[in-house]
Amino acid sequence: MGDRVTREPRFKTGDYVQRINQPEVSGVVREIRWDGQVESWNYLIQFGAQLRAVPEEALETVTIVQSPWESFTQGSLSGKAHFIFTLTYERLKSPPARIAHSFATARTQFYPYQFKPLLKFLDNPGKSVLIADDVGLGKTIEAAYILRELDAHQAIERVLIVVPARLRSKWEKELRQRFDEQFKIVKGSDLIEQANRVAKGRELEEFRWIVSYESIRSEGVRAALDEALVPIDVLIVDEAHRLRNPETLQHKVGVVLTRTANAIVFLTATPVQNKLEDIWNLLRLLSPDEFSEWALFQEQVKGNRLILAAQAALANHPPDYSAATTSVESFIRNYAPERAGRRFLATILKRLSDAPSDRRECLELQADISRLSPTSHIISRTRKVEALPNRPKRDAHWQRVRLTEEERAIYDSVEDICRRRWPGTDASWGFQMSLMMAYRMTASCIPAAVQYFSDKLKETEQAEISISEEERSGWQEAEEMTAWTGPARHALEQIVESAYRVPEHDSKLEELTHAFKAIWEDDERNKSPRRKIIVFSFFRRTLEYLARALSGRAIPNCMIHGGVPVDVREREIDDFLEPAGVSVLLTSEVGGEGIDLQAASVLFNYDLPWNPMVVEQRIGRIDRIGQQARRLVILNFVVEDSIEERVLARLLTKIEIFKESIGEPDPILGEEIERLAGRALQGDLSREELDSIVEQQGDALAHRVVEAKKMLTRVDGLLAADQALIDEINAIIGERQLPSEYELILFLNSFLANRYPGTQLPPRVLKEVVTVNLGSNLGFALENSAPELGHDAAIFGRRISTGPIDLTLSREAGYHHPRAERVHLQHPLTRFAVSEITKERSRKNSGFALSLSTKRLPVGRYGFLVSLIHVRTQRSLTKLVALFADWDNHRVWAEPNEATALLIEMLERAEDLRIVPQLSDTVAIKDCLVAALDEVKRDWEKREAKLEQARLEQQSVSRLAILDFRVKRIRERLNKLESSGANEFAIRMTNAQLSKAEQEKEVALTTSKDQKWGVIEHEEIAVGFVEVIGASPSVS
Amino acid sequence: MSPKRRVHLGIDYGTSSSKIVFRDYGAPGGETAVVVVRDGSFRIPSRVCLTASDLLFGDEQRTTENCDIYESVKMQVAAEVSNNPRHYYGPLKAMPSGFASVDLAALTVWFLISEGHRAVAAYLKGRMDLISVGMTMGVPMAFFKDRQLRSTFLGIPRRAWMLYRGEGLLGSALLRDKALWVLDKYPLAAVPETREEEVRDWVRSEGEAAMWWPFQSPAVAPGRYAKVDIGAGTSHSSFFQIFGNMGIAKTGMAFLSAASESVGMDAVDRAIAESEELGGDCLALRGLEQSILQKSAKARGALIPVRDGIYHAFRKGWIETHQKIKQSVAEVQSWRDVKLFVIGGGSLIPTIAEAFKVHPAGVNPMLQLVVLEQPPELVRADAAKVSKDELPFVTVAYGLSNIGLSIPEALTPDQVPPMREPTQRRKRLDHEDIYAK
Repeated sequence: MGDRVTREPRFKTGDYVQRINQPEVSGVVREIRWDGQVESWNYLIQFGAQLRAVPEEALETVTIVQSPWESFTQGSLSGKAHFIFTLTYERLKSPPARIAHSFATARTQFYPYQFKPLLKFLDNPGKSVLIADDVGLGKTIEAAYILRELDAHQAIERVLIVVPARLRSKWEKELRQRFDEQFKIVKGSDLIEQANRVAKGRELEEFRWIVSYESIRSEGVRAALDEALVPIDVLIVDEAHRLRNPETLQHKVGVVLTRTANAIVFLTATPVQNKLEDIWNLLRLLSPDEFSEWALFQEQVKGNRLILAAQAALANHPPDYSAATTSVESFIRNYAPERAGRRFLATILKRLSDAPSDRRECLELQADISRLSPTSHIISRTRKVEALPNRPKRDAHWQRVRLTEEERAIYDSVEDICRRRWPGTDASWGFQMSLMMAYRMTASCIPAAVQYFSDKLKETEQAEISISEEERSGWQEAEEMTAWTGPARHALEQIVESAYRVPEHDSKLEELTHAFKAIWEDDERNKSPRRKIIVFSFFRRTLEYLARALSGRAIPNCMIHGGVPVDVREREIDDFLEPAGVSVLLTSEVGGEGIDLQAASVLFNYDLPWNPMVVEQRIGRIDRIGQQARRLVILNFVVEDSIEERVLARLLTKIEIFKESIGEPDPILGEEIERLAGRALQGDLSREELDSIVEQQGDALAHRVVEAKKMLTRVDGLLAADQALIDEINAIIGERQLPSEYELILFLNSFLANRYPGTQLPPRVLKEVVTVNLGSNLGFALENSAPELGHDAAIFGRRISTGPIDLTLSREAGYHHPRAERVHLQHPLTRFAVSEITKERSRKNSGFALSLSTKRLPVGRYGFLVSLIHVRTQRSLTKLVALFADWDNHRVWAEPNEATALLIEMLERAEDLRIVPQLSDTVAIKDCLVAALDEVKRDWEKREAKLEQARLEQQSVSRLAILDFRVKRIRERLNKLESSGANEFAIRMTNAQLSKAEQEKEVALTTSKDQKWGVIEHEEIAVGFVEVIGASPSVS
Repeated sequence: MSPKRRVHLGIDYGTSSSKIVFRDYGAPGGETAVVVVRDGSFRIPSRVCLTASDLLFGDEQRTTENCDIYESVKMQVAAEVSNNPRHYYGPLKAMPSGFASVDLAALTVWFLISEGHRAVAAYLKGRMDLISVGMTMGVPMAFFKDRQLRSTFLGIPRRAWMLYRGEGLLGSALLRDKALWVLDKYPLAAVPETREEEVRDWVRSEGEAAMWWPFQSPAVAPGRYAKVDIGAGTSHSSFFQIFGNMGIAKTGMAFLSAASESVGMDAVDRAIAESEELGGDCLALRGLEQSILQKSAKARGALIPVRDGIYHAFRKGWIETHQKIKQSVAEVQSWRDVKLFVIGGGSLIPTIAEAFKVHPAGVNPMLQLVVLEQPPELVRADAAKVSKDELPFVTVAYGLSNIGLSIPEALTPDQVPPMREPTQRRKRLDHEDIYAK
């Protein structure tokens, strides 16, 4: 029975075959054997790196398809695994999103608003943006997204980030840990060196540098840069408000830097402090052409008010079309030069007069009106109330510490010594600093301070430490900077003489442990997990003392300060962030800088910062995006009847810094508070005098804060509604324009399975960090691909060649484990897979047969088409579009949102059919879907043409308005010169200026009329049959 | 004529229960392996019940008044053929009049093939006209490497196949007279001779079948592996190597050793039940073992001798492997970091599975436990997901559902000769060799 061979095999060794039911899988016949059981032939086929046995019935000769339609009409259909693979590959190859390269590549949580500055930046042909978000919304991340996106589209060779000195290491660390970007912290001298290279005509090196304001605000740096004009591809300036005063040297350096930078990003939470000129000064650095004159800017502000008024009228319920029309007409009359193209403006007026009842049309109209704004295109601002509507409330308390007699004696003696007159020391910054620190240490922690004083006295006297301005403004832990030399050493001797013994009782520590218990008892009562508590101190010695003391009281704790090695710091933070880990973190400013500690909702200030900026930075560690708690508890420890209580506590309370964020405080606030506290230490004021000064100055400072807040709201007057941008970002997620992490892992594993046996990413990498051995073969291949894929491919290749690596696809896990490799849509491994598949891919089968359980379509059979539509205009855009057609009546289900939702369901839930029905009528379905796609394209063309036209027209209108203004000003000047009988040369020169300006205006006008909008193309990436099952009865 | 769609049945004919997985080679979207579910369970009892008139197969009923139950027919066949009563636990049971143990085994396998066929028909909505069915049965590695036992166990599915092809499907009841009649019609002697290269089309070792997924899994690289399969009554171990073709494709497996010990999850449950003084059926503990072990030090203590017994199977396998490799220092070195698969019911109990991380040779470091991800194409016939707890029990049937060629080269321990130190390469001539003369 059956053991005799009854027929010849259909294929022979070496033949190329494909699976009938999986046409995308093809391989070579390696071995053939007769199977007597079923009287047929079995074949051993090599599919990529795998050998599989397949019966003859499941094989056919390889067929080359020219288009997805060919597979479809021939009935050569693949299943869901290949469907996901194909769509993932195509979306990785031509990402249908403008933010594809920055999206999902960072180790950060995803917040849509953080992509808004990037979109504004991309839309602005001037390639510059001012990011004016509130504090704590992640401006660093927003700037890094811009950098990442630019990097993907053009060669970025020189990047300069200018930051305050105290933020240098924070930026370096954030870029390294969150974006895998390696930046180097340099000094002004390095910039001078680069300038010298340029001046000498030598080749410029690539650089990615972080430099501090303090280090570049010198005439030497300014002059060198001014002379050599070092080209910079991307310039990022943090706390850019420091550039707003044109009188300062740092503004002048800013002028030189912005002149040579191709792309500029400014970041500040306080673009205006006292007057609107503040922001104008920043804007004219960003775009000198647009914001050349103050008078023009005022006009632009007025124009924008009309835009805002029109938008506000439309936002009413019901929309007030008449008011909106009045505002838009007024805008056109006053701010849109008559001869400029006004087609777009005319369409807006027409739509307003139609008064659409459809909400969506009204929203589109609002978005189109916002495109007319003369200022909004360059400013991106997100406020905390918008981004974090449920942000936590700050609940601040003061914990007064009553000292024992012994402690009081020490405290008083230190205060007394600090208040004494020390002849010849008035001008010594080091001396003043030493005494102030001695006082502050005593106020912070008496036992630690006493120990420190006696230790310091035992050390031999050293030369005074030279501290640069840069170091002074950085968060150095103060005791490390204090030089006990000269008169300061005499003071120290006296301090040690009076406070020679560590007191037995520590009242402040008692209060601290009591506060811990109170918090945790509260948690127990509420049956909630123990809250994590951060204890801040300005002093390393205090922290070390507390760590020992708390451990002795069985309160486990972690500690981070500048003296703790970086790897230990990371371990300590991990321990603290672990939900079941240690509940207390002791940290200084240096230790906690740049670390997000949203896992904690309780903060203790064990000592009080003298600068509100430090207070803001401390609270900012927990009061930021990602904080889950509804209430933040802040407890400030202050010694009863101390300078801190009498001066600092009162001043800080007056400016209400503990109640809510005051943004990035005006430096004057800090200076003033420090001055007052210092004054109190000088001892030349009576108690009453001091109280009175503190009261008055406190009120003045509070007023200043209120005024600054009011001023900030004026920035909103420069903006227009940005909902369209947020919608675009949400659509990228909601419409699955970019592959999900699940789709990415399927794609990568499919690629690896075919080429690198033994290398797979286990599904657990979607959620956690997993140690994976990807093998040396893949490593070498990645290293070899470096010329094509970039240096990061070589680095990753080397990493995996040397052994197993820690890897994850999760943003969250990647953030908590910065040393683990995070694979994302633009990771070298993903790019390598896409590039290799593209090289070998003639056209794989992309016809599909699937089954889908959905409520969106009635039960039945459907044909579908998935396409990428490319819009090539000033800003290129690609979009994923899906269409469905009823197999029996050829009705097309093309409502865009429904079709997209169906496509997402197919990616998530489609199943393979058990039996594929005989498909007839494929040609009719094809014709019907192709016709529908053409219609979608036409709609898109209309829409995109309109948008592009709007963009171009807005640019023309704004440019012409500027030129009009300039012509008007020159003409006025000319009239003045002529009437005042000025000399002929001056009149001739002004005349020449006038004719040049008029000429420029003519050119701009002609160009505005000749502008073409662009082209639209499409690419069919998948077609197929889907059987819909399980629809709800409610679907008609 | 359009080619038929091919389905292959993998039949794990177990001592007390059997499992069936069928592989649909023509499934749209790619091969699909489907676990056959009967009355909600993937376990199909292997015992045969004899009433006055009928033979009952796959019956869940443990005892009936007028029923004679034949448990462990498979092991009785082995005991009879090899004349080694150790294969059968307890005194051999006399067969009913007119039936030999191999007859009952062949009839059981016919029933299992029929069950598979029925499941395929249900899965494909009755379109059996499109389908062509084949099958492979699993045999313990110890039987497979024994010429006589292999020959006997090859005869069982071949005869069952003749019955299936000749007589059609067998329901769960068969009249005794009809049974005797069909056995007479399809005697063992009528089974055609099987060429050596075709043997694996019909029967394959359970060890090899269990390791089919690791062999195919893209996550597993060529290398040296050990497997411990902790079943209900028996624990098996094997040491094997997966070969690769210059790192491009995996080409074969060689089992250096296979060992068994008659101790498994039943003994584990018994030990726990006794230590915890739980009366009744100790099998009721199945699935609760780890939680009891976590809580009770007494239970953990009681488990030690059982765990040692299971570990002994592992050690025996290593000794056999070591015998083969000891001549090659490099080979012995390579087997030190052997990677380990623990499968079967015991793999779900970390307290037991972790014990196998200690290399039987006592060398450091601890062995790496390989965690296999679930095969993507494996589903249950009732559309439910194959759970993590079910997976260890269906891996053998899943591996058997592949046609014989699927592991191009699969050597059993008797086919792997002892290894020798590679002959020393000729010393390269150096400067002195040339110029000293």
